[in-house]
Amino acid sequence: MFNLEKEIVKWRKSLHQNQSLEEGYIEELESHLRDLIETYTNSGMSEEKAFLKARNEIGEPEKLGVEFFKTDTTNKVSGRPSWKAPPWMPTMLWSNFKSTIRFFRKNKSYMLVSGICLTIGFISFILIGMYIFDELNFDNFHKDSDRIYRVIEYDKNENSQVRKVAQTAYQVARAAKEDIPGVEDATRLFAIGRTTFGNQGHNRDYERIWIPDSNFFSFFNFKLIHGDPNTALKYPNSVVLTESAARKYFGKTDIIGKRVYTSLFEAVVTGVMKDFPKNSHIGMNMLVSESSFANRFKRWRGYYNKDWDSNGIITYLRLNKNVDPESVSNKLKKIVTAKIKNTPETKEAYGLQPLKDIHLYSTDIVEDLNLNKSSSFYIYMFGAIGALLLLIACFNYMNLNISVALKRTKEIAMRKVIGAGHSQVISQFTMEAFLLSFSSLIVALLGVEIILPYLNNYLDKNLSLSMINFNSATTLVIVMLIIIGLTTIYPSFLMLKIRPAEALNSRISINDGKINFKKVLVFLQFAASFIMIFSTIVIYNQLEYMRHKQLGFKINDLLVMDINSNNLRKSYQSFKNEVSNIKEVKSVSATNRVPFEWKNIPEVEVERKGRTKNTEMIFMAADEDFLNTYKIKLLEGRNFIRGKNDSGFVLINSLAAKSLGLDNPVGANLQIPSVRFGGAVDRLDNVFNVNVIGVVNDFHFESFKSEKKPIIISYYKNPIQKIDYYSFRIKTENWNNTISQIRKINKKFDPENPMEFNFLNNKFRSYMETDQKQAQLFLVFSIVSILIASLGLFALVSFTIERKIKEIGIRKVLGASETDIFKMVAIGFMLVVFIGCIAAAPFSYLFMQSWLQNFAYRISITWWMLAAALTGVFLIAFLTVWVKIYKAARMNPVDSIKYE
Amino acid sequence: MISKALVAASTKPMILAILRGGENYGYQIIQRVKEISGGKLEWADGMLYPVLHRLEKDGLVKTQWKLSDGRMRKYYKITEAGKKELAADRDQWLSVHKVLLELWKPIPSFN
Repeated sequence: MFNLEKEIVKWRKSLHQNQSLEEGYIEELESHLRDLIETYTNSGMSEEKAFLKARNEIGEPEKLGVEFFKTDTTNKVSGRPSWKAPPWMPTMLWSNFKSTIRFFRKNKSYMLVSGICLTIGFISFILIGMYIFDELNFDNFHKDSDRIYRVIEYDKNENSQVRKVAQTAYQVARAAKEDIPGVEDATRLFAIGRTTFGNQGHNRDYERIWIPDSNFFSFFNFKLIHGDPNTALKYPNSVVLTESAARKYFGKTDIIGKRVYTSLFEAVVTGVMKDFPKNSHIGMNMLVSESSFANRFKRWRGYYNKDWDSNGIITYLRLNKNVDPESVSNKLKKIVTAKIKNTPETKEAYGLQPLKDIHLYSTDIVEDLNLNKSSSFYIYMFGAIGALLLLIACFNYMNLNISVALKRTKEIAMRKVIGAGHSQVISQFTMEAFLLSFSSLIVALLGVEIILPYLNNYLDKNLSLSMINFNSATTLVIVMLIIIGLTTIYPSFLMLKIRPAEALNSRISINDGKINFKKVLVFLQFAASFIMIFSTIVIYNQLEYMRHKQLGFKINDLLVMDINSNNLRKSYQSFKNEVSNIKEVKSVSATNRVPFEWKNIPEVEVERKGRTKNTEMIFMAADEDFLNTYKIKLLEGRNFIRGKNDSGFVLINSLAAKSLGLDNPVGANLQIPSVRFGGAVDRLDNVFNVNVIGVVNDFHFESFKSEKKPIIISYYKNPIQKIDYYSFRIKTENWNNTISQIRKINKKFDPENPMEFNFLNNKFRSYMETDQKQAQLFLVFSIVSILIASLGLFALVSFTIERKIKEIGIRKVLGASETDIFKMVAIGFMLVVFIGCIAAAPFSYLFMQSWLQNFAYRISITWWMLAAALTGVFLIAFLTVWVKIYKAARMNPVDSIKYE
Repeated sequence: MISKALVAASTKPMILAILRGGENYGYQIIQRVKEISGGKLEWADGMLYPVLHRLEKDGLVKTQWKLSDGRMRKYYKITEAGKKELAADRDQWLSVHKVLLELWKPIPSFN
């Protein structure tokens, strides 16, 4: 018997076989078919005949398909049917690609979370990578940079302590070049104080005087914009300026031949060079030819031609290829020791430090004129952080991938039924991981491009994506492959275990194995976040501690002014009187140096009869108002007294008394036989005999990174060092006006030089700038890490809820409260977070302990810091989970049970 | 019978012209064509649909599924762009028609 409906269904199925005909099209055609059949049966035809006629009239499915295909693909460039792979692509790959896109579309929110996290991870990784790359390639822009070395001297004092000094005597460079085979070239660089500098008009400022050898520009690869590199530093009174210095003083760079003012001699600009690159350890505004000084000071040549033992000059050597630096330094030692007579310090050895190591490996070297100096410690630290962040992001993806994979058991089973082998299932997952990580990488590169200018400004660096060369690009690709591998392996493994028959029959749950892999990842993520947050807490506490630490004197409202002319120094009494008359100036004092000094601090050896060892102390010279101006307490004895000739008397601090072994310091006799201004020790012509008149409390004189030291304070009239600063304690209000009044008085005594002043507090803060930046970076990174980890947790919990939504509904119906639901869904995760923090605690404690070793004065890590970090991490995790669960638990059970 | 090429070329203006009279669904459009052409113009009915879809893609018609006589039917409606297109087609066909008429006048014999 003919059954019309059955036949129509059969016909519809035949249409389904054609890939061009989609559901809606077929429906429309069917409606047409039915209209035709109806017309024919109405005219008296049998159903069977009517059907056959109608079917014929509509046409062959094959032809229809072709027509539809034409319609649907006319817009496409390729003209390929949508199911066909491009000719260059294997068919399965195309199929994988398409199902990946569909899969992403279907799981938008999970993929978005994974993608965002991966992107953030990549951004952090790339930025940190660039930073490290830049740090490791410091000074690498010089030609033959691998053959350039800096000479380091190992000096041993009478107490057998060895100092590594980056400066040598003048003759070392010459001797190395002329007498040691294997040394291709040598060059010297030294800094001797500052000068007032400017054009012939009134544009003046202070510049540090740097004296290079005349081969500076051929030895290094610094480029001159104007002038001849071979002669620019050859003749007397020649000055080379950097581009920015030229702009500062002249407003332009084309200034060859212009006369410039210095306090020593009049000079002429013979060269303008490009600014020193930001990744150079050498950097300055101005270079002056050495012959200028030989010309100006009669004894210059005589002194330096015989100089074999001072420590005032940086010496760089360029060795021939394949020459062992150690053999050179050994020969150097022989030559130098043969030349020097008896000195307080012996030159134990010489070493050649590779140019590339100067930036990162000079922390234990003194007299190290090393711009932007850093430490390899930070390279390791930031490298670890970068890898950690990327790993956390990667874990998120792995975790979500595993979760989502559980939803796909049917899909995978279907693939297997159709005939997919293991490799095809794996290639599907690989394609997904590839597409996600690749697009994250692209977005991350865009993000990096946007962030870079701000970062460069912040770090004062010149990083750019163009730094990415073949090697680093390869690294990125390898990192991406690792991520793909990591994220693919486990879900693929799970999917391979699927038995299609079971999976297709019902919702099966996959056995994750005894240890829940997802939880392991959450554990690692939050352990890492804990480390970051804990470190941030410790670092900020250390900074806070440093900021508020008792310095031993009152640093607020202390204004410090440099003495830049002899007249101002000689007119000590009258200058002081005039300034004291200003209402807002509470007191004035003159000293040789001030705390947090930016010039060499003199150190003296102090002898006491009956003691075998000498004690090194910071040497200060001050007037009777010093203690009062700095608010330093006098513990014993008396202060200096004005008018009395106190030249033979000294104050010492408690530490000095202790290190000299003095129980009753007042009245003790001490001898000062030698002094060191940064470089080598100088014997005084006459031993300086002093008598202790008082003891003051200890105060900080150098950065917090070094400990408080013994200090000996002599009267300002003394044979060792003259006064160089005036310090004013002023009233806070109206300080601008106070300064301009001081400036007026200064102008009277020193009309030549602009007044140079600082608030000591600012100087103090600038010492902490590096630490501060580090702390801020840590803060940013720990926020990023907790953000990524929480996002991951959020998605994971959402996923769990989605899977258990019906269960939640039923439990609610049966009377479960929100807390019960929370227990059911999230207690496991929260436990893992908690354990992660606990497990990370000892590790982060050790890490921070080692960081704190950088500081002489440091906080001790207390239990509350650990507790705060734990609470912070836990709370964030809890809130993340709670937001999601609260919503699910509040859902009407009717809706959740219906949910499909 | 009319050749395939000519059918293909004339389908678009025909459909648009029919739709100018109001919205309609596929079956009726076909019936209308058959009716007017008196059976000389015969399409495989199915072939109408790709053309309709094409017109929809080009924005000349709009569609809507509607329930009528107990069956879901997809209705097609001409758009403003469709009307313009129809006018342009009309001009073109008329010019071709004019040229052909002129050319097909009986050739004068000079015998």
